[in-house]
Amino acid sequence: MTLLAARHGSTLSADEIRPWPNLGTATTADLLSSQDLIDPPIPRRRTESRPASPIGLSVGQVLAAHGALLDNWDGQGAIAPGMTAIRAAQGFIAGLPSEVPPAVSASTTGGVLLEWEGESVDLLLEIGNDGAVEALVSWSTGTEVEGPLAALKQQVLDALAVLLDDA
Amino acid sequence: MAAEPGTVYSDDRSIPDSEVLYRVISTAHVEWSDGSAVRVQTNAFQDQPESRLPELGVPATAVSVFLQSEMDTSGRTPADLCWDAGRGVATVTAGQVRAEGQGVVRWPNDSGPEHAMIFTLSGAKKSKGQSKRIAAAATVLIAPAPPTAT
Repeated sequence: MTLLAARHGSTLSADEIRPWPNLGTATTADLLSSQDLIDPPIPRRRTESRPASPIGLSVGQVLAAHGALLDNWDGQGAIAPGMTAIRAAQGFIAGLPSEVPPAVSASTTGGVLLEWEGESVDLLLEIGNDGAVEALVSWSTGTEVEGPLAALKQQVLDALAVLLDDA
Repeated sequence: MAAEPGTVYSDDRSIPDSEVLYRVISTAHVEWSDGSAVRVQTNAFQDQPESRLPELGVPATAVSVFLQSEMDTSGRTPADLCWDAGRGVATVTAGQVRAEGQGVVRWPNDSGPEHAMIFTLSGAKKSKGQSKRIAAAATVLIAPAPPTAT
């Protein structure tokens, strides 16, 4: 973690490390800790630049600004994001270096979506209001994995490491 | 547990791949930059929650759209689909959603005779990858109102 933080010019204080749901006692720092060893030789691709999310705003503020905190926010039956999902998403973002802010949005089922798009990899996390987290990792090579975060922890770490390098 | 969409809906091949599908989107379906719509987000093409199916009057999860050809017939325009300023319209073609393992079924309802649905041919709901790729293929035709405070 220290190496990772130093490489990206930021550090995480203990206060910034939040518990991560569904992974027992694991924290965001735990999730990231093995990234120092990861530097996969992934081919680069050029993409349009992507505007950063308003990282200065909390997840709740972003969702409120989008009008997504009420049931039926889409007019088509969507469930409003719950506090469990919002707090978990906020905790995860707080534990990441600010160079990789995700796009934050509401899922239709009451959860929160965090999406990153990079030159080499895209990452999507869906945090459900029951605490379950599912991930989608899409590499520019065409390789894609999707499933529960607990089963894809290493792939998510790989993706985050590359996103940090790309930042 | 609701029925799997592919067991209750059938892909209507009378809808050509070139058919434009209008998807009503909200402010929260769009990624924004300085008040401008950048792109459609994955959540715009996530299926409805199963728990909402009874009140929506459908037997399985799907994504609501409107068929351009039927809109042309009825004389309604995409702007007519936006019932308030917080709504906009994105477009995607039937061929683009079929390329992601989806079917398109006509489903006229109270919202209009042009109403149809995009449903997954296999499994209980769209995968995240399917929703993400369909969203990536979509274009914002009418942007909804931008966020209030970002």
